[in-house]
Amino acid sequence: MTTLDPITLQVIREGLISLCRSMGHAMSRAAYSPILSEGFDFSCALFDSQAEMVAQAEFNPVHLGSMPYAVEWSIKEIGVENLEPGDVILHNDSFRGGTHLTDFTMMAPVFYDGVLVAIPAVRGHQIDIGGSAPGGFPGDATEVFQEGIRCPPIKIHRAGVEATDVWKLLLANVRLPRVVHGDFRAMFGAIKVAERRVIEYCEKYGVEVFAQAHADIKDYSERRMRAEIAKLPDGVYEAEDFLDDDGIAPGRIRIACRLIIDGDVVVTDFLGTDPQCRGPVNATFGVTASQVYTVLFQMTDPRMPSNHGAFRPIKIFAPPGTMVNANYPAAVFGGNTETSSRIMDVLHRCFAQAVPERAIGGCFGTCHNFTAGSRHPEEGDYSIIYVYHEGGWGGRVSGDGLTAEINPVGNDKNQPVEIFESHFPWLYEEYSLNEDSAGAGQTRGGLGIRQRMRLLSEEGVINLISERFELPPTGALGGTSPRPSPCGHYNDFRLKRPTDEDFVHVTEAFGTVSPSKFARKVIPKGTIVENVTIGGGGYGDPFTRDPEAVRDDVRDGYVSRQAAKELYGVVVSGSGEIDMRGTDALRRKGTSDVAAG
Amino acid sequence: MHCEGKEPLMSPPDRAGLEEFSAGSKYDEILQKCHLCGRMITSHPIVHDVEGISQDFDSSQCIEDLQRYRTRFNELFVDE
Repeated sequence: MTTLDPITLQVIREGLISLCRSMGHAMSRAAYSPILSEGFDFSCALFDSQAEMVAQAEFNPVHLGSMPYAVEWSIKEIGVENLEPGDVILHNDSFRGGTHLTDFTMMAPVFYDGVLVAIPAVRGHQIDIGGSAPGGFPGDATEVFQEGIRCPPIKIHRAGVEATDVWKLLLANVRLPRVVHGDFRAMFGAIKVAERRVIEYCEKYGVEVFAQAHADIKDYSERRMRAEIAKLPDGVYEAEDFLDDDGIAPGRIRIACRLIIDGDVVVTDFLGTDPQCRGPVNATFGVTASQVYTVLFQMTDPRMPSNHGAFRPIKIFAPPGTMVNANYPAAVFGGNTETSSRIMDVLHRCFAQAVPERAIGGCFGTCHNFTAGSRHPEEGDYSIIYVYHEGGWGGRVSGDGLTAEINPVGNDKNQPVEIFESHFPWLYEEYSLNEDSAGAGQTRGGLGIRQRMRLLSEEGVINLISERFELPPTGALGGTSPRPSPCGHYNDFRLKRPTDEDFVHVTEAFGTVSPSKFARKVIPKGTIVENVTIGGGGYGDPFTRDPEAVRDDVRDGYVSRQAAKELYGVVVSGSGEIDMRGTDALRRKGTSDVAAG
Repeated sequence: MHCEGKEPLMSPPDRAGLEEFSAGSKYDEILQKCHLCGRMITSHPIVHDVEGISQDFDSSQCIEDLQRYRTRFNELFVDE
């Protein structure tokens, strides 16, 4: 069959993206957990009969880049010949295309006139999936088994009949079975929305045209991606960055990448990356691939339709047994959120050499995952929170970095305070911007945040997997890294129990190896936990920043007067006006604390 | 004996059953990866009658890529 006419193809292509968005809307409205209903920690995509992604909606990048591997693996492991109408498959195995165990992928083959025509899939973060830490993120895990129940591809519906025994087994191993079951049903609803829409397409266009559209959509994306890559200068670009530690033992962990641009092909080779570690920050192949795909879109044309075709010109070498492709049964919970972020940083630095005009300062470099379990003092139910924190993104040529945004690997949304407090036994005492947390530059980084929450339950169990406590995000093209937060580290976590005189780090309170990774620490009622995130790195020489922009930052409380003077060479008076003479003198002198090193 | 003349509640397993049991489980979780690029390889290839189906991982392509991009990367852009 020849390719479709451009208009029909465009109508179907946009329609399939709309289909994926509709899945997401159904998902968010039906979900029980605020992680999904408010935070949108899920993703929706449509795969064709060849188990290749043809459309996705703009949800979570780390899900969307790895989901193709999970779907491909699941269909191969179960076997296409064993699929029937009404089947629904569930899967969360990190070593079969998954990310971390709380991220479940649900998919279903859709048949029309007995022919497999599509496979809609949704990946959603479950609030708890068993394991040693309530809510997941056990910062001390050394094996995947400590991180929760591992589910290879299994049918949870067989020919339309729900496999209730499978549900029993699964839900018996989680702490909040009603919530988790509700969220799984929301995922099922999203699948059903997609199924209806796929059938409508088949009725309207016929199976052959629908299948041809899938092939054409992928080819179109491949052409677009190859054309974009061809615009980049050929060459070899290398960069490295480090994780603070693995939570088990002190010591930095190297992530290295060599980017090769060769005509219309891009190669990312992670040779030189450290071997996989004992702690829970190992990334799986799917996680690494997600970051590669995401950065390629960031550095080319983000409007390109993201599907299997766009991935064809991108080659990934992720040596097995390393931090970017851990082997079973490594602990991987934080690889999806922390190492992924470092992989993105390394790729950004490689691309900054190839296309400096698209360079960007480093972001705060973590999802700063705080989870806690406690019994609600009034309702008596066990409750679990998962708070991923906002921070600052890096400055770039087009403007300052974004302030108080979720890490770019996740693209999730903030869980509003009102929703949070109405669900959980925690009271917000502070939620503010972290002044002077941004790296300086012609365009500065965005700001991080400071959040303080008081536990209202009699007792709570807390866990954390975070990063960039010791090493700051970097600036780009003369922009600077942020200074450490006032509490000591860059990103930070402290707590104040009723018996503590002041806030203390967990290394002091509990004797943990790492200040950024721990699990199952018990805190009493009234304890205040403090989560702090840093801002992004700056872009360009800070002394070239418009003095009026610096003045506005001082007035808005983003930058202190002292920092304005030291970092930008701008003197702002106590009344908030620019002292032009003092500023000129400082800038002519051309020195600052930063420049002086 | 109280069970005299009655079938025991649990019959002793026959020899064949014991041998099968002693042979152990054959369960094996296939989680193979290409040792060159690291991508997963399933042991269950897709059986499908649609042309252009996803191909199982082809390591010959991987060898070619590695020769081109890793072994010779230093000379790659000098040669051309």
